[in-house]
Amino acid sequence: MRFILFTPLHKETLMIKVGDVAPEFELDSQFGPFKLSQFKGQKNVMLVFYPLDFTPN
Amino acid sequence: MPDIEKNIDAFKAEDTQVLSISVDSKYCHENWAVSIGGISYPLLADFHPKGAVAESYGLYLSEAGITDRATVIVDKQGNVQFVESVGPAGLRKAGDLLAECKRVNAGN
Repeated sequence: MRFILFTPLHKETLMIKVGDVAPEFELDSQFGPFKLSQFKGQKNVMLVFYPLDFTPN
Repeated sequence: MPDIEKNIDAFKAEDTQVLSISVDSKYCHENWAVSIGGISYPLLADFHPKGAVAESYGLYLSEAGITDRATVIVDKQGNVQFVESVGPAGLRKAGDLLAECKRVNAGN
């Protein structure tokens, strides 16, 4: 008998990969709007995607 | 998130701007930040159209209506240098991510 312990949630698109150009965005935040391109030539950017507020990390 | 906040100066020392992204509104972000004692980096609202930025990175879980728990490091030229998904219920390690930021920053 087989047990399915974890079924990955379906993704419609392929995950971005190393070497890709990071897609541009502009989004509002608690400090106002930010664009990815505003850091170009100045800073590396670590994008921390997470499911929802009030979850661990 | 609090783990990254605790280490935020170390990320800054590696010339790295931290931006976090979920489908919550900025009002939800504001309340959550206050509830955990403040977050010094931006919490971006991928709220409308819902999850569009996460989708452009292939990190939107459309059936669940949430974003994957994943980290993408972009170098100063705008190229992706690191991608890691730990899954929605997974946990990130700030120390490991800091090491990746050091590696990326050294390569610039």
